[in-house]
Order: sequence, then C-alpha cells, then structure tokens
Amino acid sequence: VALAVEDGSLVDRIKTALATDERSGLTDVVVEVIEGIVYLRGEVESEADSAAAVAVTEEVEGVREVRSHLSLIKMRPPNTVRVELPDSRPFADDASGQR
Amino acid sequence: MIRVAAIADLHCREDCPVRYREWYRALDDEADVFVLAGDLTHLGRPEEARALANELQEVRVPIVAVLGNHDAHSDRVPDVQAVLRDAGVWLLDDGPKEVPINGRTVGFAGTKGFCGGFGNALLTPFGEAALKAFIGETAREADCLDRGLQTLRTQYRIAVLHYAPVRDTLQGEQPELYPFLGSSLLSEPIDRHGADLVLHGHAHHGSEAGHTGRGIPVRNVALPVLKTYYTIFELGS
Repeated sequence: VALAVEDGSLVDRIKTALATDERSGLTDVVVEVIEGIVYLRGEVESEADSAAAVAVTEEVEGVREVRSHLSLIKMRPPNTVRVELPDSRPFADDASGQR
Repeated sequence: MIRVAAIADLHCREDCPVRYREWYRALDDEADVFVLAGDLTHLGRPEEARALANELQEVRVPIVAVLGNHDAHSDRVPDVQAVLRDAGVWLLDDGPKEVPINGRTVGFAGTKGFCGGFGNALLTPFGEAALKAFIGETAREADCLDRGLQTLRTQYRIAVLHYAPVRDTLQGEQPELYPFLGSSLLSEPIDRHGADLVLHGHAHHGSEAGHTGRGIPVRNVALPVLKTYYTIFELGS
C-alpha cells in the first residue's frame, strides 16, 4: 500500500510537470508508475512534444527510468459535416429570413 | 449555404511547434467564418496568444472565439483577450457577433462555460461557500449565454462554448471527470432560445456528436477528437 501511495504522488507530480513545463505543455499524457519506472502513453501532436515529455518526466524527482509509448496523432485533412435543420425550427419564425 | 469552420483546444505555445498557418491558408476558400471554441493557448500567456495570432494572420474570413480554462491559467485573461482582439478575433465575451454571409445572417453567441455535472447529477448550490461559488460560476456563464442568444436576430444562430453543455459528447471520457467537463446548466439557455448548432471543446477524449434535450445538434470540436485542424459545418441550402 505504501508503494501505491508513493507512486500515486509521483504520478501527480509528473502530470503537473508535463502540463506546466513550457517545453511539454501536455495534459493528455497517461502516466503510470510501476516500481519507479514511468510509462508514458497517449497521443501527441509532434515529435518535439514526444521528446519534451520524456525530458520533463526524467527531471521529476523520484523518477528512475522513463519508457515512452507516446505516438503521434494521425492528423486527417479537414472534413465537412452537413448539419440537418428541421423543417420547422421550433424557436424561430425565420422563414422570411428575419427575426 | 453557410460554411462554418470550427476547432477547439489548439493549446498554442510560444514556440508553436505545429504550423497552423499551413492548414489555415486554405480556409478562406472552404469556409465563411472560423470558430475557435476555447483553449487557444496552453498556459494563458499573451505570448502564446501572439504566436497563435501570427498563425492566423492569413485567415481573411471573420474569426469568432471563446476562451477556455487554459486561457485563464496565468490570470492574464485581459492581456490574452487584447492580443486576440488586435489580431481581429471577435471574442464572444464582448457580446454576440452577427456575420453576413451570402445574403444571410449568422449569429454567434458564446462564453467559456464551466463545470458542474449533468441532469440528476448536477451540483446544486447548497452547503459550503466554496461549493456555492463553484456552481455560481456556472450559473453566471449560463446567464451570459442566455443574454447573448436572447439578443441575436439572425437567420441562423450558433452557440459556442468551451465546456460541454451535454453529456453525449463526453462519451469516451472517464465518467468521474464528467462534472469537471461541463454542465447541463449551459444547455438550458440553448433550449430556451434555440440555436441551429452548438460547438464546444474541452473534452479531449469525448465524442464528436450529441444533442440537447430539444434536439439541437451539439458538436465537440476539440482537436484531439477531430484529429484535424478544423471541421466545416454546412447549414442551410
């Protein structure tokens, strides 16, 4: 139990560092600590983000080793979504184009 | 047809490692207006807002925006707002925005929103002062949206928030986090006054589509959800 509490505190400190350090600025990284080894998982936007996450984590006191399983977000081209408007819009008398 | 491009959660940093301008250069040909639904900066620093403004400088269509929780982190919201205003971004905190498009008018009303939970699990302002203040903030944000929607007199109306107004678009997030990702208080003014579309961000692991209680479409446009630099919503014929 003591180990779990200690690791939980370390997770909090790593997540805070990842979010607030200017080099990383990451809030979506999943952090797990197992017997002092830190595992980073999730998606980041760039290789620079991935490297920064590892560097920032390594500097957190209590971290013995960092194993990164971060992957790059596979960005897609912009897409288009058609928004269907109901025949009768209940909130507006907008048939004339005015309200 | 009205074409609304939207994105949230850019989390722009000073060094801005992602070159948004490469994506936004084409936006003028594809959309009539660009909506930014909060968390434009990472730590809420004016320098980050300047970096984003620099990336947006080639966009010629009107840009409307709300701020997000990250934009408030450094307690420099007025400075961030000033940078964005100077860059030509219309902040919906300053009031609703009416945009003429192809002979029609589209109105945008919005605010950041806040937390509190949904439906039967919505927090109530009871007990400690801290809890009352917490939910009071959500109520103020909902009032702000209410006033904005109430004043719009446009053919199309779009509500913009950072926090989620419905639970639907949070599917995929840890349920324990739902109360911190939005509030159904925010959906009340939308259903009361009506809208054609609701856009929000904040829920990075949520889902894209949902509806308010009255069936108004809600879209989560957080970048980690869309995995693209904007989505275009087409309204009308």
